[in-house]
Amino acid sequence: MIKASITGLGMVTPFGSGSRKFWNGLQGKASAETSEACIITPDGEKTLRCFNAKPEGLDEYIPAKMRRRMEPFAQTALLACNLALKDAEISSRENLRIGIVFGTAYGCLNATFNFQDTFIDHGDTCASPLHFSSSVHNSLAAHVSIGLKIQGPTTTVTCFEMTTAQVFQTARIFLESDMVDLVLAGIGEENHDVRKYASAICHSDLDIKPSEAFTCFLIQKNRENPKYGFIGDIHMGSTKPDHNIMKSLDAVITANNSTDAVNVSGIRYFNYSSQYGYMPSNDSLSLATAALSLKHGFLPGNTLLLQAESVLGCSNFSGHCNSLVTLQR
Amino acid sequence: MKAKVGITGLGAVSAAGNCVQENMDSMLSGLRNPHPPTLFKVDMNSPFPVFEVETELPVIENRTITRSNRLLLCAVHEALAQASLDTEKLQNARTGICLGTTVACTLNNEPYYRAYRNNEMPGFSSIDVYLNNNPSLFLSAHLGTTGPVSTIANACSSATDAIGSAMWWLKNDLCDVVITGGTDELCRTTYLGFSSLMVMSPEPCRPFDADRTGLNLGEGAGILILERENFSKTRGVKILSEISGYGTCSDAYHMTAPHPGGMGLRRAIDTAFKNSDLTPSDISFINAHGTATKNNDQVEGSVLHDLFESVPVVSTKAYTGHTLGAAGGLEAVFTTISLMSGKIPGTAGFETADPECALKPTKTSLSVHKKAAISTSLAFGGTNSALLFRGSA
Repeated sequence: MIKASITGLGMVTPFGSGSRKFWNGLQGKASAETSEACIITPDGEKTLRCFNAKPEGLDEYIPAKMRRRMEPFAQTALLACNLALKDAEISSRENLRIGIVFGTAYGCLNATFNFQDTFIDHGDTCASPLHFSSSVHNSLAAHVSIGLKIQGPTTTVTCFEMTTAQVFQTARIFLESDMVDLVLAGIGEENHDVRKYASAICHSDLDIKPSEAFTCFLIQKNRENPKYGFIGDIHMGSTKPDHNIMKSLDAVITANNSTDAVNVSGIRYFNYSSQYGYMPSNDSLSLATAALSLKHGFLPGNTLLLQAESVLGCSNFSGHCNSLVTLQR
Repeated sequence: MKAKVGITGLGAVSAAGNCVQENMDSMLSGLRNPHPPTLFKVDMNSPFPVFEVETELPVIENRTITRSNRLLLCAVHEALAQASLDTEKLQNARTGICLGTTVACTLNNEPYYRAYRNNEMPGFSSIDVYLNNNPSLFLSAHLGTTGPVSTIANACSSATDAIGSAMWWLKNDLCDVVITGGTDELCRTTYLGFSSLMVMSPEPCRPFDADRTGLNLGEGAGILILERENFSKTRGVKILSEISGYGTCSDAYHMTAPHPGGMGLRRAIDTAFKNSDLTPSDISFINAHGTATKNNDQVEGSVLHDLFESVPVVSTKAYTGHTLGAAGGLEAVFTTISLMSGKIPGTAGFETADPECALKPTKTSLSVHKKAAISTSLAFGGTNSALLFRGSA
């Protein structure tokens, strides 16, 4: 089996653009962009705190002419990919075989509902072709392939809480099968009023705070001393990982506070979702946290020092969807 | 040496038939019956015809499942029966599920959204149905499998890419057996979307014809059971055909139009051959994407004519309509059956070759040799994918 190495990280999160801002945010050195949504539900009016992605630096990477034809979510994805390539110091892509593997649990919500608005408001013969083509899940990957002129394999997966693990699994298979030299593995979600409403009527305690972000991991094979470590085990399925796998981990970063814990004694659990909110694919942010922790040698807000052989797990357990991805130096 | 990947079970439901044999019989007879949609209403003077599945689909007691997943169950039951697999065997094996879809993963419940817009404060039940009907997760829960699960949403190439992914799962020893293919139901939102793109035909579609006027949407599910060679040998089941190669490449050109020179498709086909031991001269026939839109057929037809000049080509979308996320699954099923039987259907609606692409697909059913075949898919966003099938000796 090849060693899949994370050599670049590009992030657009509620802390802003770039993994440095995310890392600072996790350590309480920066605040996240939030807003309050007032939502009328059958149980009365509720106020929901939401975390909003802050895409800074779009002008630097995406020409204005191109942006006019792109939904904000696609712009965010393209920005994150550009940041990952820059982080990995890949200036020329000419001789590289590049693949794109993206994942999103809910897809392009704004384009989906904007499209429905056009025919609800103006009639069945007046639906918008632009919104329709932007509403399909793979439109993000398509915009990135067009924007970066990437002609390799491009695929999009969607499986709620297992989305991130699927992206990593697919990226590793692309590399193992020698289809590509590197993969842009991106995962993200976007907010929309319907999602906020659904969240408010589903979670009576309003503990779930909808969030949006896009994280791109640049993954290559067999690189020496990659900046963010190697991908180890990838578990996904209806069962939780074997306890022996869990026990071999130095720490586990969980995707969300309320449903994610596994009661395995002796394991240290960390959760940072209170700082950036909730998405079904929150383990993408856990993995970014783990990658940055391996780089810096410690977990945010904790005195635990990571050793050269440390292995971090990122879990996302939710009923029938269970995944665990591990990273190590 | 990577393991060989064999097909041991097939299932299909579409407007052309409620099982694999019905589909093949109607296509070989040249029968088709597109009509204005009855599953939903549209406010148009002359609604575009569609291909609807007209059979009673499975239900699960005390559970709301989407039409896409009811179509899926129909095809899965047929495929598992042919492969001699039941839930106990699947639960005791490393069973993966890798399916393609477009409609089933999208939050496009129009009545719910209308109620939300009208401040009617709709309840959570519609959202709950959406959250519980991701096809791969649904099927994994239904069958009690514990292996890897993936739903691929690559628009019209979703199922082809799901089958390609499943092949790599098996070759890389992640699983012993994978249930793969695709499913999609007809949906008003999607219908209006394709209408807005002005690519739907007011008449039964005519793939590759010079006077083609666009596509007809359809619905269905096409399912394949793929197994590692040693697993199927141990079980003593018959290999129907082999998935021998897969390639997928992006045009990086346009959101809804293929590259005019078909560069992505050429590279996808080339990649599929590179990871197979087949050569273009081995190919007996091609099941083309063949949507009957101006752009698709011109580009695809030119590429196929250029690469495989004398090889017979068929578009089975003439009988099923364009079933989007299910299309690659259905076409993989049909390709396998044609390799087994040595017969391919005619391309209904095709009369006159288009001078701009020079391709002449089959007009009537045709006998072919049983060595190997290709199925191609082109998708929104510029994805091009190709699967190579080797006939079972």
